[in-house]
Amino acid sequence: MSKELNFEAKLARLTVIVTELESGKLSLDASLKLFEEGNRLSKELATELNEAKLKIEELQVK
Amino acid sequence: MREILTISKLNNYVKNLIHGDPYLSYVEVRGEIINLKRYQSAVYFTLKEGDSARLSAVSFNVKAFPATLKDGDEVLASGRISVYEKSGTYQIICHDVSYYGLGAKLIALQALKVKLEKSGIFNADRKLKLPKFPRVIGIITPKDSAAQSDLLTNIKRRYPLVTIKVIHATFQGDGAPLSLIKAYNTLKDEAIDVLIIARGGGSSDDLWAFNDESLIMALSNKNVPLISAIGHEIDTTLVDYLADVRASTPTAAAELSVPDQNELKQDISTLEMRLYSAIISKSDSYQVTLTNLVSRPVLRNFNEIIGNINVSLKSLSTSLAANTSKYLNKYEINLQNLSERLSRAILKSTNQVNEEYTHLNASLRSLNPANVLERGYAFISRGEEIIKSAATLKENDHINIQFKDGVTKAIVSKGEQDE
Repeated sequence: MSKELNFEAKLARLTVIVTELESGKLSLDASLKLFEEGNRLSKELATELNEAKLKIEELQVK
Repeated sequence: MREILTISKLNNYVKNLIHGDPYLSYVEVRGEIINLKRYQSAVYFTLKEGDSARLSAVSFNVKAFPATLKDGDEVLASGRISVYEKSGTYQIICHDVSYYGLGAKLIALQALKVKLEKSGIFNADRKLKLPKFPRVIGIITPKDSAAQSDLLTNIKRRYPLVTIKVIHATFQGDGAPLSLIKAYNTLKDEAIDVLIIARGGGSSDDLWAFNDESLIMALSNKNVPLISAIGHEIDTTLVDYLADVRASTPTAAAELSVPDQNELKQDISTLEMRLYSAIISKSDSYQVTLTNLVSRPVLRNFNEIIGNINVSLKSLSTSLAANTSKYLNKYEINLQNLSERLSRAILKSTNQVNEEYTHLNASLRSLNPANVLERGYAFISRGEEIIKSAATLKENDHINIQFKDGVTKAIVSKGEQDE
């Protein structure tokens, strides 16, 4: 699912996950699932930043 | 012998000569105003060309004389040349005096600024907010400019996730406004999130293109935020007034347009820490729940509880084991400590639950009446009441004897009390 999210959306999702987990209201099963998703997201975010290469396009005046 | 002239005759002769010259009947002359004196019927001043030449001037058209003109202003004066006989000097009698060059441009600019301000396009409520995470940034800059390399270097350093679309335009000269409009119109059709117009500093004369009304009107239809990085703080152009954010330099524009990846990495690390802490405290709290469960009086729903615990324990062990092995070796160096805590907590939790389960199971087994019956004991009831004492039975009581494999009905032949 997180494959289609952009950087901003992933970061927002991670923040939501952390907040939900910190609330402690979820079952262990749900918590583990969220933990797994959050852990994956944080790795993906770090990877995206580390591997990003600035794309530059030069346009010609129409 | 020559006639001896009076001065007035000579001056009158010169005056007539000058008045008769068609070329001098209308001239346009430019110069800097000095010694300006305003009177009700006339304005007197001198036009100066550096230190090399001066020309006396007078205007009788007091109402048309620009009220803001003052010493030092560069003007264009038009009128005819005449001779003031009383002093034997010639002067220009002005029809019209107006600002010349930069002065004229500044006046026009001021008027245009007032007009545009009134139209509302500079209003604060029209300013667009910069996106925190832009995906595509459009840049208009002169070709091969220091501004372009400053922008690209700093955006790359801060946030390489972005795509840059660069288009070059002419920033100086008469063709500049049109070149800028064309560049903007090309970029407008691209899906950009932010627009940056950037150039290095320069003399204020080089910035005139950014005061062009047609450029301002074209840019005023923009639907993405504009960062202007056009000149120095002191040279505020109309494009700067229109811009949503003004940057003092191209580097500052880069910093405004994208977040800093070092800060983002820090944020992500912090979130990761909080994530691990949250799951650790969750597993701790689950441990407490199980402990509570173990200490509860459980005899009433013995089988159900044993069943539930079995199921919970199984899924707990499975998911903990799966996740422990999955995440144990993955932590970053800065999370090493946390990771050790997590795995310790999870292992502790699993081991403890296992021990507690074994213990619980044993004690439940010893308490289960079925196990007692298994060993050859039986218990006796009268109706719903369990008989715990011989004293409660008397002759002819109908009782049930519960064996491990069934119930035998019996009648008491002699109670303790009956003796």
